[in-house]
Amino acid sequence: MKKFLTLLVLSLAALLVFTACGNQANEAPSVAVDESKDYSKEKLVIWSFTDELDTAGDIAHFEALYTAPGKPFEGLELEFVAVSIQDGYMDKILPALESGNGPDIFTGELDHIKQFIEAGYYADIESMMEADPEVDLAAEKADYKDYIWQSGIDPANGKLSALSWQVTPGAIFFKVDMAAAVWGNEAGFPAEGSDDYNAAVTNWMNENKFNSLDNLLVAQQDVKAYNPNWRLFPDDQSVRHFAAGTNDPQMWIDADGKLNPAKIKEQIPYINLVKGMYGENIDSSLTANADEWSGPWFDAMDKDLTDAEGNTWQVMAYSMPTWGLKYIIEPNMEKVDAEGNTLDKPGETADQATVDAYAAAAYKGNWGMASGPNSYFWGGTYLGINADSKLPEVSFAFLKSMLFDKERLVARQEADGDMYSVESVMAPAIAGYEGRESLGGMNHLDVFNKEAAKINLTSVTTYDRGLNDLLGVHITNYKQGADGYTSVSDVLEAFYKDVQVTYPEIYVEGLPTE
Amino acid sequence: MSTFVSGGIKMNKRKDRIGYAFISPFFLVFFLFNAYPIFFTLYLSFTRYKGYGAKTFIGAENFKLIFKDPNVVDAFLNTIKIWGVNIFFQIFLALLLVMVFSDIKYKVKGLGFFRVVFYLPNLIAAATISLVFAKLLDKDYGVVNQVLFQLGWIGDAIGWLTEPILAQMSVSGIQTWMWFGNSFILFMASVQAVSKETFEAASIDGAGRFQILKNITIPSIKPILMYVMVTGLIGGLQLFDIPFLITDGKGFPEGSLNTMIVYIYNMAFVHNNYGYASALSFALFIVIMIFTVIFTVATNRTEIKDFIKRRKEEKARKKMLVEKGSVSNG
Repeated sequence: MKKFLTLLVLSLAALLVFTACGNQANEAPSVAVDESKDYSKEKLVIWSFTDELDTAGDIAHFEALYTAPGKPFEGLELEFVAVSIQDGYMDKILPALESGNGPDIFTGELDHIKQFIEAGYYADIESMMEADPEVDLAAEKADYKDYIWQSGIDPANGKLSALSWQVTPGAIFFKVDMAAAVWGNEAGFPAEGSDDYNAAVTNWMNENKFNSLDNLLVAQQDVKAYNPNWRLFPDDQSVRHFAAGTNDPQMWIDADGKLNPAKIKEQIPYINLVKGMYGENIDSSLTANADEWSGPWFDAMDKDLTDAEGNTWQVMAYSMPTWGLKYIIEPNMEKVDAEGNTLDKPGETADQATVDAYAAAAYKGNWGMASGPNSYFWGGTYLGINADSKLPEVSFAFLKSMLFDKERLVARQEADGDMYSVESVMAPAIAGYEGRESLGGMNHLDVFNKEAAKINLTSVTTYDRGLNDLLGVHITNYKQGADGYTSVSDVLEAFYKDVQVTYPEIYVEGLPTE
Repeated sequence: MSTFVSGGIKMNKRKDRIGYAFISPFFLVFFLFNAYPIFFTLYLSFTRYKGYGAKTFIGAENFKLIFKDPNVVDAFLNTIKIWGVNIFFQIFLALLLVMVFSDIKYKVKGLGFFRVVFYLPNLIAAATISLVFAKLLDKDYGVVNQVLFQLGWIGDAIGWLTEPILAQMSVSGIQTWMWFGNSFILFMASVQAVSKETFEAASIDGAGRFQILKNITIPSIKPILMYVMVTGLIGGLQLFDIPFLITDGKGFPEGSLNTMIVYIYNMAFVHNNYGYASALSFALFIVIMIFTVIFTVATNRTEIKDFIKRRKEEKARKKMLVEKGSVSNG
């Protein structure tokens, strides 16, 4: 008995340890309703790293079109799982996909979907589009922004594997009144009260202050010189989006699959900028030392910061993408009453009537949005179908309802005011837009649309996030003057040692050290 | 007779089967959630694997890399420093409280209440603790510096989590606060097993507090003290949650909070190098095992010596018996 049990255990161990999970061949499955299936007994599983598909009504829309009584997939159950990136979305979904138990549909940011595509987890949706008589592949390809379409293509077969309805370009949102105080006397600065004042100030900032890494450093020094308790940015993470300093950035990985020396050289001005911005305390720093996403970081949007010593500080600008305006900055912008007096934000114990009144009040409208030294993107949700899905026809129907139902997309855009990657949705939205109240009437959609046009998403690789992290650690050590970090060379040499250990497959000798 | 013996054997076999049936659920769970992950990790340590796609067998390359990677030594030393300070103060504080609560002269009341209060930090989730202390200890905006400024005790803000040594001490302090209550409860339970008369007799005989601590209290809690030290060592070498959550998760400042497990975690789940992370995990497993053996041997020297002596005597006796048997047979 003992010997039998031992043998059983060892056999099980061997079987489990050496089981390899492979993906099925990526054949284009049928998109037609499968008459042999009883959809009332089936379940469609969708995973996403945000709850947007639920809160924006996309799931309800799909259910109304496809699973309600009398519809093609009547009775189908739908399970939606939202796991934020901070809660370990990738840590959970990768093992599920690897084991063959992944969801039918799953989303990801751009670097995530690059991993999904590389691993073969995503189905070929381009062939599904071709097979569906209701979808005009050529028309859809022409309607979506080319760089969004291209970024979702599987290089192994040249077919589309994932697509995003969003574009998420970023900008520098800044307080126009503070900018006017600092630079109002400089040549060409628009006069207060002039037409489209916020837009005019933004243009001036674009041309004079935010157009290069050197000018960004000078701008920060200007703000501090004007008022020792004012800072341009809350922290130095605000400038990480401009590390490339160009709209044609190098890729981290070159054509040989190795670490790209040109990318390293491109980072050097950024490393020097961060070093120049640092100070041990706020007094000696060019930023307010309010870490991104911390309480003080949020507070500085609409009020003075008070540090531990009792000094107060004000912050002028934040680097945020499209979703940042609506979900992060606007909820923390100042509001005014009918006479233009700034309203106090209701506290947590305020009654509902006060909260409602504040929510309905007008924005002060003292913010503008400018470009930085380069365009950047932050986030963005791509959608794809599991190559192993047992319900490809249902999954594709969901995709259709999300990505190719233009009437729905127009209504969705009107509701959330977001930037979409669909020309037929955005062109009329931009043309008919009356302007954002919080930005003093600026047409933020037009600004974002121009920013998005400059973004080069083809430079993104699966190594980007990890390499930026590794380099960031050493840049932080350098800016703080840690032992062994006296120059940019030290930063780069330490970075290369880490790459040699962490990503030995891309490491190569002879990389630049200055 | 043979039927009776046969029946007895059958009964024993049936009892065996019943016994195996009862213990098999444990072994099933143990195999699935302990043994299998360990073996799979060992397998991964011989591969290059990104967490998705194919696993490429690369032999012992990952293990060779451990000896070339300077971060491994740094991470190990960080772990030892943070753990070392923590375990010292954790046990010191627990012993101090044991002394106070077992003092027969003052007979401090409210042991039950204080046990709960001291143990409460252990019940709070590490994520919550990290969030709270990150805000309290923030250099520029934290409450601790605010209070110290207002009291006039400092002229410049203290970088509790921005200076490397201070960051390590802060994490050690947080760990001490979280775990001293656990140690106190264990020690106190051992002390309470010693009869009060023993302490009273010692006191009557003129023994001071430290003499009572050295000669009665500590010997009585020695087994549990060893248990706390060993489990503290194993847990300490796997230190992760507070150092990971309290700053940026990458060891800030200057890598001082980059413990072994933080390093392994980032290697696997941030950099998708599961193969090397698995090799590091196994190396840590070996190190913990070595440390545990060394510690156990060092703290049980007398018992081990006695055991070895008894084994030698047993072997000598058996040899003598065998020789006597050979002589008589001869």
